[in-house]
Amino acid sequence: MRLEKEYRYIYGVWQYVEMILGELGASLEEVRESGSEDDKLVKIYEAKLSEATIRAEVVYEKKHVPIISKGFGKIAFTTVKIDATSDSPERENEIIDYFSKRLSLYTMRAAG
Amino acid sequence: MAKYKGTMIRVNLTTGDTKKSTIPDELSRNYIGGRGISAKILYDEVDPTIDPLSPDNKLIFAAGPLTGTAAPTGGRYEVSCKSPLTGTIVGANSGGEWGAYLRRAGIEVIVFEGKAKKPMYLQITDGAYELKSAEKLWGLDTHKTTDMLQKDLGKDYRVACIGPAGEKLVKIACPINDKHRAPGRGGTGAVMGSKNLKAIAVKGTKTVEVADKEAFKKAQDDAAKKIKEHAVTGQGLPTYGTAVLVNIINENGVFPTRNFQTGVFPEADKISGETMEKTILTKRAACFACPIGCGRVTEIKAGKYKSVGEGPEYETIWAYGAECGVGDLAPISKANYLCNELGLDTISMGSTIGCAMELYQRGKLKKDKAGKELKWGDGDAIVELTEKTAKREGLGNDLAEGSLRLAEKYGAPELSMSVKGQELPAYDARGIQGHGLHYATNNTGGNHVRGYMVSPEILGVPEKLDRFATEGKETWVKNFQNLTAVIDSSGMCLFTSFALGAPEYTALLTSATGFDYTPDEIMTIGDRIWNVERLFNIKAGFSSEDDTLPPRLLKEPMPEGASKGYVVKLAEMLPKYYKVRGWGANGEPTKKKLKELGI
Repeated sequence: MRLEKEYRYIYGVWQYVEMILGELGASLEEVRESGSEDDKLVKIYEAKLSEATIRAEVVYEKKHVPIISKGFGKIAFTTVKIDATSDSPERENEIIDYFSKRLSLYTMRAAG
Repeated sequence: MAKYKGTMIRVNLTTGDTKKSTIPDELSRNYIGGRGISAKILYDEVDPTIDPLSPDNKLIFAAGPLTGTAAPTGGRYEVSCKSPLTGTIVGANSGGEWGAYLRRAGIEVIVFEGKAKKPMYLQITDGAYELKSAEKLWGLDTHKTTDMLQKDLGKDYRVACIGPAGEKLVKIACPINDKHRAPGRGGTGAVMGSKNLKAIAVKGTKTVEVADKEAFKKAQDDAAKKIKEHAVTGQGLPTYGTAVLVNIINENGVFPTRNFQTGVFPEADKISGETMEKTILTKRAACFACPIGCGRVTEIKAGKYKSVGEGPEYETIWAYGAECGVGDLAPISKANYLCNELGLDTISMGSTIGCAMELYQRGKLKKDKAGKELKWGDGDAIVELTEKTAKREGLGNDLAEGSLRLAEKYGAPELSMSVKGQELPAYDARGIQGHGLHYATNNTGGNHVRGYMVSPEILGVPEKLDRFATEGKETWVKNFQNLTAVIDSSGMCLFTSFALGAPEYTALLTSATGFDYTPDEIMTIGDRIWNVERLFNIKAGFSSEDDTLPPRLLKEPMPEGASKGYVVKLAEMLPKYYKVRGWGANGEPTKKKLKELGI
């Protein structure tokens, strides 16, 4: 089961993914990183937890966006893909649901 | 690790008595500081049915646990009371240096009670405090008051004071601190005036300690990095100030023009941040510990509006600009400077003039009452009427009551673009549905800084929402309102929350206070603050009937532009909002909800 989300402007969404993996009690098997924050950064996490494995991919990229970019320069886009795999669909659903709720809380911004 | 211990002083202006106490841990932990603690004190101690301008009202100046620390933008404080403009609870937030000086003086909260027989000011010097006569200051504008106090007491004092508008109980008056910073909304300046309290002068030289220095430094560095990396806080606001929004909001067709008659202002570019930078900007300015620096020092170099000052901010440019049909930065800037000197809320002032202009357009307000022709785009009128309002002269005496009372007097209350009697700010909600829901439900009336749905619906922060859709907006609004309540209580600037979220505020608050907060707990605190404010209003007589918008936004489709054809679909969103808040069908917090929040 997959969760895919796109966030704009925010720096450091991968920190939230790491926090959530920690909250789930996942053990990190592998972390791969390529590119740079100045252009495009890709982070991939492979993790294991009870009755399931998780693959999390975070892509952070800076792009120009017409209209909004006026005065703002390049805007950061972050795509997060969470893949949960388990023999139990309920377990997959539980993990994806948890990620979805925690990412919503951690990425929330309220500026005014 | 030593836990945060805030100090509160109570000043009874009737008797002259003062009392110092330590803020109980439970109050600090559950309400943080600033807006939260103030709301709880007002809820516990003030009868919500009182006349806001009577001695029974309490006026609270409160810093947060991050105020005066090295947390990025940690210089904010809140002024709270029962509002004379709306009759609701009000809390207005301000930057500059005053709040940081208050904490450096060893004080977090000041509660003013009663009414002084003669004008007084409070002098605070590193924890010592004394009420003094302000008779020679009475009548002076905020700049002269500040200059005189700094001359008498020393340049190392920071001053928050009212001008003539507050003294004359103008319902849209506000205090001004550091000459150019305002806790603007809700008429707190009139309450200050009603108490014969002219000023608070603070000298603070102590270091503000945090509970865990190492963890705080880490949290502070992380926050600073995220603020720098963000396109809005790292580039847009430092380069163009808040006025960077003018063209963006106008292009989206939600820039309220001529008292919200449309959402497109053809002359927007003439008053934009980009134009400001090329014409009147002389240098940038920043509040205490702020890495963003959105402040603008400006100068009108020639002509009848020749003058120097700070601003105007986006909201002010809109209020005196598009709202009144004025496409010229010179009179807009002059009117803005006057508001700072006279002690007036620029949003309510500009919008009330816009309301008067529409009353004139529709023949409700005649030339003999207006004192002159009151036509859209008249730069002289916005300057003159601002001065007259502060002095309550001529039509200014009607404007001093705010747009709702003005429009009622002239027989067209529907022309007041206000919620709960407070003027709406610079976003037409017909093209920003979630923002409309926030406007209708905000505890202090028309206000944009307590649930800024413009972020996701227009700017796409943190993710881009369909601005015309209503589905799911109730949850977004609730969460934004709750998180904002936390930030207003912390002592940090709301602008940081373009870049920071619950985890970052939690790290800063935990390391500063020693309370082991979690992101979930701080969101619960925000919910608690929101509900306490709501309870105050219900006891004051407000109900779900007041959670509404001006008829124009509900019934008149936007006539042109990128939001053409839309109205706010409030009826679709409001019941869902009450439900997601855990309230009853009439918008009242349920016993279960209050128990859950520990209220």
